[in-house]
Amino acid sequence: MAKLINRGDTLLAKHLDGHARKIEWKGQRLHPITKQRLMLYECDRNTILRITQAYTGELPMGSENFYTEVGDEVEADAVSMYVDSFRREKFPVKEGVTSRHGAQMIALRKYNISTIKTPLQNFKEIVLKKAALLENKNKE
Amino acid sequence: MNTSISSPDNNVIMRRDFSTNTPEQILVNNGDCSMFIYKVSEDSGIQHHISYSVAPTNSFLDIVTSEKSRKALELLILAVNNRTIERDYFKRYAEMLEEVITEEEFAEELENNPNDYIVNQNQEPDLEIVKLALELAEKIRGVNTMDDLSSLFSFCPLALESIKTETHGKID
Repeated sequence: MAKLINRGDTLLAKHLDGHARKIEWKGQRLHPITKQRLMLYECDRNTILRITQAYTGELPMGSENFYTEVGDEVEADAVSMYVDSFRREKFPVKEGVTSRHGAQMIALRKYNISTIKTPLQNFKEIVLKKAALLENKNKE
Repeated sequence: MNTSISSPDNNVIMRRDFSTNTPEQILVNNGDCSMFIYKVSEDSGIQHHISYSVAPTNSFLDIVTSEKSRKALELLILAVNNRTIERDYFKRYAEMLEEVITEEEFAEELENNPNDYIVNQNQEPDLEIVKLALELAEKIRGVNTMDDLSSLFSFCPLALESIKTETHGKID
């Protein structure tokens, strides 16, 4: 049972349960690693996801480092959830999930892959710092 | 004012004598490039300018050759087309919900024409392009996550992650 908090940590499951304060439906995408066509949801703020049933089928190429055991959990602000479903999932709101806020409840029952992402603001800061460093390096 | 432009081997390739005593002066400050542009004469509708600039690396040349503008235009055209693709997906999805088309027809449409409904995310941009994309994204609605950025400009999400982790010094 692993508790994952680092960017890039990924769960692959059949059943996934958890909650997030904000979930946005993004439509269909090709998963960047497995290249499967899946429905993407972006979770933001206080996201917790836990595998409640492991996926027992053949694991796709590129998934060697994914966490797949029951009880494996991610906790992060920005998480991408890819789900093998054709129709939009429903995420009912439940109040009082955290001490201050309610959240949207997640109960995925189809093959899914969830990855901790870098928040966009953090990425911007990193890119600007790198660009500045590269400029200074080129001046030397 | 006398000015001449020489080739690197010091052969003079253009020489002009400008008689004006008060050249029109424009100061351009474009982010990291400062440029003085002097309009030194105007004759029968033909204007002569000389410029002096201070800029790191290729910033001045990028402005003069419109390289940055050209790249920005390409990114924006791509972004508009990708938004159209997403819009068309959601339109079809709505048609399915309203039973204008069946679920099977919708699935077949996606299967047969994926490029019309699913954004391609296969571009591997360099740091300069990502920086430009982030500048543009600040002025575009609905770019709040890494996926928003990558799907808007067709960037491969893994390529963005690798830009983040490549080190040019201790950052992350």
